[in-house]
Amino acid sequence: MSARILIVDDEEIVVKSCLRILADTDYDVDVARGGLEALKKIDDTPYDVLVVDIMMPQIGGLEVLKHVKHTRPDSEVIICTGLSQTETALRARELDAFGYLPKPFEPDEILQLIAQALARRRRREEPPAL
Amino acid sequence: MRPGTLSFKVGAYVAVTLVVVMLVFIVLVIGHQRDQLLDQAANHVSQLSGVISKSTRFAMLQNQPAYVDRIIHDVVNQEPIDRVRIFNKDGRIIHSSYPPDVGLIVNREAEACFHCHQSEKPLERIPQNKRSRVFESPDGTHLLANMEVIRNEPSCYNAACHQHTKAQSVLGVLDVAYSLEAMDRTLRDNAITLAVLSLGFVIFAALSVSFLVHRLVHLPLRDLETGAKHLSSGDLDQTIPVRSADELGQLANSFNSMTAALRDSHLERKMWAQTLEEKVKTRTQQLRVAEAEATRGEKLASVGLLAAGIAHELNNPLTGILTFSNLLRKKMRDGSPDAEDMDLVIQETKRCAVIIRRLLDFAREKKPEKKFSDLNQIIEETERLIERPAHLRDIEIRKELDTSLPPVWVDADQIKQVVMNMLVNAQQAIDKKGTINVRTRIAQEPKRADPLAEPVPMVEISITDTGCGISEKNLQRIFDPFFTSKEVGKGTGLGLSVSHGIVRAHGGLIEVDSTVGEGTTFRVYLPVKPDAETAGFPGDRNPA
Repeated sequence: MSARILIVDDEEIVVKSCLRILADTDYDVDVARGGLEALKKIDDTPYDVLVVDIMMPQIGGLEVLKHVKHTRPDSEVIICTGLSQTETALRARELDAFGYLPKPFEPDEILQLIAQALARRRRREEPPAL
Repeated sequence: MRPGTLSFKVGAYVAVTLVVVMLVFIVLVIGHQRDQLLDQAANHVSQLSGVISKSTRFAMLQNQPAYVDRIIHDVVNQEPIDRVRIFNKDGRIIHSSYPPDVGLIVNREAEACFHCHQSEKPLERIPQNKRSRVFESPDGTHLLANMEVIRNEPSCYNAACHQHTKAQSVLGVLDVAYSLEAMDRTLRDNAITLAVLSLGFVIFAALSVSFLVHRLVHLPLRDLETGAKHLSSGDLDQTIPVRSADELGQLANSFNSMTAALRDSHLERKMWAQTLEEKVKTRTQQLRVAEAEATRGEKLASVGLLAAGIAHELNNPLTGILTFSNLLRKKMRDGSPDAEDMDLVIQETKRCAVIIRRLLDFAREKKPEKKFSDLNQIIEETERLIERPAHLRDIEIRKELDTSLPPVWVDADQIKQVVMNMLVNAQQAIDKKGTINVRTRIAQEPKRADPLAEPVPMVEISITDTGCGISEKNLQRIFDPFFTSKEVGKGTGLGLSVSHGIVRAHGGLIEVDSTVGEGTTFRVYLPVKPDAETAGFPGDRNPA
């Protein structure tokens, strides 16, 4: 079963970019164009990795991160932002985000980060070695 | 001497008083003299009357009227006898020095007769002092007349002519008139002489008093007045002459002391005003600089917001550009012209991302992490980074580093950034060939980080280039964010602004001197000692 990825961003060009980058992979990619939509989708579907933009209207990326970690603690979240700030990066780390991806990113960067997140996700699922 | 002055008034007063006094004096003197002269004249006329009476007695006894007339004429020829008349008992003139009068009868009420005939019974004896009288003749001259009674004596009524009876006590009257013209002239002359002398005396006295008042009162008062005028017109250097040791002299002394005191207080006030003015000027200048700093600060704050907005808005499309250009590039053959073009797109997109990141870094203003550092070492390390390109362009970097420089309390990375910025700017200011001079030393004098701060000892890094220089207009703006005079693409306009921010955060300051066409000198001053909030030199700590 292919990994389920959710892209959360209100910027159409970023969503398009991500979809285009991930189109060549075998991931099952879904999109939420805002925080509210993301929360609904998260409740409905267990995603393996979420790429979440911080600055969105109504419900921001950090809120989404909190919700994910509350409802699906095993899901990995990559925080993505156009306004890279140390404070938000530290806050995301505190909330157990997997990674921090400043925009603009290159295709390889996001692919690599998703792969790493999936690896950790898988490690979590494996039963502890006896 | 002008009318209205004190000297004139006193002189005039003295003159008028003296004139009155002198007039009274002259009147009294002349009057007294006149009385004396009249007494003398009266005596004289009385004696003369006696002489005439006795001289004519014999002629009368002989009944020789012609002799009597002769004697009378002889006497009248003697000046100043005016006339001699003899009246008989009935008032008839029987002898006169003026013959036409002979035979005239004088009325008893006439002025000459009235004295004795004022009662029914005439006086037979007239006292000596009542015998003479003074009157004015028709021609205006004064006359003194004397009445001598001719008494009936035994020789008279016994004479052979038997003219007179024994019963008669008085036979007639001898009236001698004496001209007082000479006396009047003398008196008039005396009066004129006295008046002239008195006038002379009055003039002399009035002038003397005026002169004295002029010397003793007017001149000192005029000095005072002139002094007061000078004072009121603001001339405080004027002193007035002290002419005497009297009360006015003391007043002049007091006036001079007062002027001196005024001058001192005026000078003191002026000095205070000047000091105040200078203080106001300095403070105004400091305020102006502070205001410029504040404006710069506000600009930085708004730059921060702007940068955040730009970063957020631009990074999203840049993500798209970077993604799709990368994906397109993967489809192209390496080395093909399309691939090269696409590489350029990717490279420039990345550069945009870097510019945005720098802008954010600048807006964020990282707090310096200070520690004791060797400034010379910081410069050496920074200079090594740009040495190669500088040499390539025939630019020589000379260093005069003061080895005795104490370690300074700075964030070495940030100061490197500042020095790097200055060196890059210097290099870009030089067209082809030139020199960059880097010098470190202890600043000649304590410097203020800002106009309101206390001056503290600082170290100085000066970077001098022989480049194109900065115009005066641009010099005021070089520390403003986004200000650049470089070609488009060569500078962000943030370098000097960032440097300025870093140096300010270190409690230091940057000074610039520049001449267009000759070059520019940037002087960075950094405080030697750590500021209050950070740790001080261990060696500086007082064990007590």
